[in-house]
Amino acid sequence: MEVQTLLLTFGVIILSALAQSSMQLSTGVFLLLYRESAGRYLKKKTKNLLSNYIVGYIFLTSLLLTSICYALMMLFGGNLTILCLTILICLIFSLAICVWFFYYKTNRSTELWLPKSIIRYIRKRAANSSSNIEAFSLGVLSVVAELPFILALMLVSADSFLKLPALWQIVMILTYTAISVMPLVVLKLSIRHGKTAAEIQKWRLDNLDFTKLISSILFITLGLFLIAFKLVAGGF
Amino acid sequence: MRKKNSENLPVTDKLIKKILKTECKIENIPELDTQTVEFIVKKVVSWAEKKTIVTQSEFDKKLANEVKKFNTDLGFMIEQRNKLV
Repeated sequence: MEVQTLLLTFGVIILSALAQSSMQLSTGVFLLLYRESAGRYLKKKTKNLLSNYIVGYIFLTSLLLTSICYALMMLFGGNLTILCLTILICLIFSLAICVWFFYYKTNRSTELWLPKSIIRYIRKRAANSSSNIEAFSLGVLSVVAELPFILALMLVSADSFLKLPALWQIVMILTYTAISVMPLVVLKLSIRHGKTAAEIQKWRLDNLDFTKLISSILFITLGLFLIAFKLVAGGF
Repeated sequence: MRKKNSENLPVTDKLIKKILKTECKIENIPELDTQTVEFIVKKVVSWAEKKTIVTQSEFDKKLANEVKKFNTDLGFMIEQRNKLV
């Protein structure tokens, strides 16, 4: 395996995983679960529920990546066609625009532009999560609800994984998952170190434009990276 | 024509006291004293009585404004509690 291939694959994975981690749905649901459980249960149970939520998020992210890799292998022989790649790049650029203009309902709140029925369902599930398995399912649900934004990222990452040997594929899937789950881990650590829900929410509100900008930049950079190294240079 | 979904929230002192108690527990702060709670309840309930329909967001905003007079963080979180996702 060439070092250049490894580096370029690593670039795609880092950019995709960072773009996924900049999405705000999973952090919002995490905060919602924290509030709901902190209001009803002891601290220890709340911590367990939050840990299980993160495990659910990790589980579905890695499972989805693996499944997409398998599907690409079966459908395209492990190599996306130029047409598919072009469509994905266009999708990534449109997502960058969507994140900037439509991701949040208003510029003054962290409410996301999701269908009301989905938001209601997520709120209901967060309020009713009393066992570890329910918190785990909520983590899974947050990845599913985020899919319209992260599917394209996962597809381009999976396409890159398949260029590597089997062992490296596993390493890269783990790396992607670790980066994408980082905001949730940071949130959990800050709660453990005494940050309150109000402080976290204030930070989210104060940095709303910044997070939007970072997300959009990451999507655009990934799109340009793919154009430069996959379309123009003719693949890794 | 599709009817707009604006559900009327039954505002009671029990509901307000429950919210205040829960929010204090979440924020890890001591509960508000009885006098303060009664003052907030009185203000919000009398405001709700004057209105024909009270929506969840209107109620959150009013309650948050009243609580902010005593505790800014608590008021902020009450205002934001249904706006996290």
